[in-house]
Amino acid sequence: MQTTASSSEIVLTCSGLTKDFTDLWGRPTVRSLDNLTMEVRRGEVFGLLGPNGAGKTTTIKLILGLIFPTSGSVRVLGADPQDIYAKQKIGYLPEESYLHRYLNAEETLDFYGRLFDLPPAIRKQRAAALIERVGLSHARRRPLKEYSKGMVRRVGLAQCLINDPELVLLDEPTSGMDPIGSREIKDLILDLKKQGKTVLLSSHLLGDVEDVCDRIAMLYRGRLHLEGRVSELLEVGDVTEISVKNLAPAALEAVRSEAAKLGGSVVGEHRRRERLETLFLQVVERERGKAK
Amino acid sequence: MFPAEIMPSYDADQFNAALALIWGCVGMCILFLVWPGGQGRRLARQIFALGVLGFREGIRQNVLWMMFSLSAIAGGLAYFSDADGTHSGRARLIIETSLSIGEVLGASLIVLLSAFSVSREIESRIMYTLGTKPVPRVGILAGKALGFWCVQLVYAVVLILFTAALVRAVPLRPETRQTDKFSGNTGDASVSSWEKLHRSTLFTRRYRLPEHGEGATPSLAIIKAGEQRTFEFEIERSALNREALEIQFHLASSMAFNPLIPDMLVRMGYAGSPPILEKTISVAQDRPFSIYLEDTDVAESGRLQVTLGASKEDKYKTSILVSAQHGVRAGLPADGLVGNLSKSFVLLALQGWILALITTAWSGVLSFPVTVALGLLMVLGGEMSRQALLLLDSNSETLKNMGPAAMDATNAASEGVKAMTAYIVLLLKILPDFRTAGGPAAFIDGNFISGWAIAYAAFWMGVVRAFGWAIPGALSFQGREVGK
Repeated sequence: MQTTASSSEIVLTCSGLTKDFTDLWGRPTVRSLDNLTMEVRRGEVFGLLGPNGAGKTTTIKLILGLIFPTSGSVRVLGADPQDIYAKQKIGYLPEESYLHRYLNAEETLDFYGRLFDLPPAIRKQRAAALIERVGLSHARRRPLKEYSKGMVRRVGLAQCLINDPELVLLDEPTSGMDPIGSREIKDLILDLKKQGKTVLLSSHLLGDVEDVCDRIAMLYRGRLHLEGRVSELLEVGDVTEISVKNLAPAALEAVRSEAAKLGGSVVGEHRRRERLETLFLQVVERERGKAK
Repeated sequence: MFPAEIMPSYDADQFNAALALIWGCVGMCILFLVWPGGQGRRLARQIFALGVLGFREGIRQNVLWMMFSLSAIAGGLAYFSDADGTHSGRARLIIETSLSIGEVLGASLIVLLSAFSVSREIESRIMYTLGTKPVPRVGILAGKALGFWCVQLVYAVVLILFTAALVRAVPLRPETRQTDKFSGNTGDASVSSWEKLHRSTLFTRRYRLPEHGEGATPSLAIIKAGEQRTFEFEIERSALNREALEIQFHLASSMAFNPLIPDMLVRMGYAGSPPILEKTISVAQDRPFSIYLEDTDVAESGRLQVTLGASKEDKYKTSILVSAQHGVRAGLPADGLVGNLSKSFVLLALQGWILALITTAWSGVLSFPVTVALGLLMVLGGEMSRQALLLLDSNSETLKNMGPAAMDATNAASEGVKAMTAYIVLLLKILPDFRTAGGPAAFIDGNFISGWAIAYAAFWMGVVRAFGWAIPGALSFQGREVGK
């Protein structure tokens, strides 16, 4: 869990945001988002949580102006979502990387750099740095159609950052990634946070969100059910965990007795376990070391 | 180059229209680029980037090159066909099959591809990425249009180069024409007719022999140096339904190796009235030479006299040979550039609206039949209606009825034909006439439409097509949800 360095400046506001999808004749078929009100502050990593169909992606699309709200309003960086100048400062990674498959990584980044009207030198420099950052240097001149899903995802992430955005919207960023890729993306998000960027992260992978987010909003069936700081939401106020190493069974028993004497009760006791992700990364790192 | 009085009036229109359009465009570009704040330049760069991408996307479409292959095969077959037995006839056929068909098919296909490009990107969700970038939606559409217009340009250039190579190779095969094919229309359909051989010219509705009268035998006229000869043509004003007339001669000279017949006198007027036209000009040898009469020039019925005179001053004392194929044809004059551009713009704007609907409101499934229907309307109405007109007038019944009462006889012959002709006339009035607005067939009568005019017209047709597509498309696209 991360501590926040966010300021009080609001970069994103959703007020009473509602979205009904309609059929061919304009009749509402489903309410995808219902009266969502939330704010994201500058410099924080904000997580949108929810099961499939909760309205996470719809919220992001509304924020980006890809679809229009039925009611309510969105302000992004103080402007309307359609505003060209606001878009200049936004980076977006869709839930799947939708890119032109006949371009290679360099061409893709160059193309999107051009759309941001970046000068050629900066475009070239950023493209090279981002390709390096997402670990695709070896395949930078291969067309995307030859990439694996995870590799395309990495290019998608690179295009999302080509404009050095102030606000980064990541929709299921670790989708299709292997655990190493997932870890790298989480590291990248933390890097972005260190650089003062604001990140809006949508995911149903709770572990990912817990690892990187300062605040979260939980959506279910289009409605906001919970919002707050991760640290506060997950804290169980009357339970304290103490991790002790090399404790003999007798000493452990003494700790239990002492806790009881002091008025506490042991509600759970377990041997500490590594996270599967950590174990996986250790194994891979070890094998990599051997290969070298 | 013919003087303006003899050239069809659209040639002058072409020049003025081209100049006006070019300067208008240059002005708009300058305004765009010097717009305060550099926003114009920024948008131009974005459109260029999208255009490059659109071009790469378009040029990769296999179906486009399949279409080119079909046109090329058609052109190749035409090369090995006999056509009318002459080199020029074979060249005409090659151009007609390869270039005309290829251009029409290619243009329709590219319009189709560009329409699908946006809807495909919406459906494949690339627009999720593209639509979140700081490019106005009008820029996205303009970029697409630019890219696909460039594809069309490349396609046209490749097609033209291919056709030109075939045409250049035409003389490698000897001519096989027979003399009797040029003996004019004797009323016997089996002899074929001059009309059939020149079915691509602008005026195609009817042909009347100058020596009118049943059973009249046309003959070769020789005009010796310093002499003149007058040809008379019976004009029946009432038989013309606001049609223009083309008086055509097939001219050769005693100086067979000179491509031009120098300083020929041309005088035209109604018998007993002051001449409508009097000029001394040099004309191409062994080519049809036409004098056009607009509807307004055909003031009355009567005998129209055309006098041709061979130059007395010519040091070679060239005699002019007027072969039997001279005569009058009546028909709808092809549109000039201005008319064509106006019609095209309206139609392409309409097309743009429909494509915009397809692109921005309808699903890809619906877009296909609508686009095909639209394409058929354009193609049938524009190019093929003219061909249909030719076919109608080339039937043997019409040929048999050639003679002084041909017009009346034809009109009376079939109510169905009459109705069909009226329908096609209506279509031709509404739809662009690609044949003269830079349509490749214009090459055929290159003595009337110069290369630059064709190039200008082709260029502006492209521009008009792009704008006709992008402007209404942008208006509709602006309000489209691309993230559904």
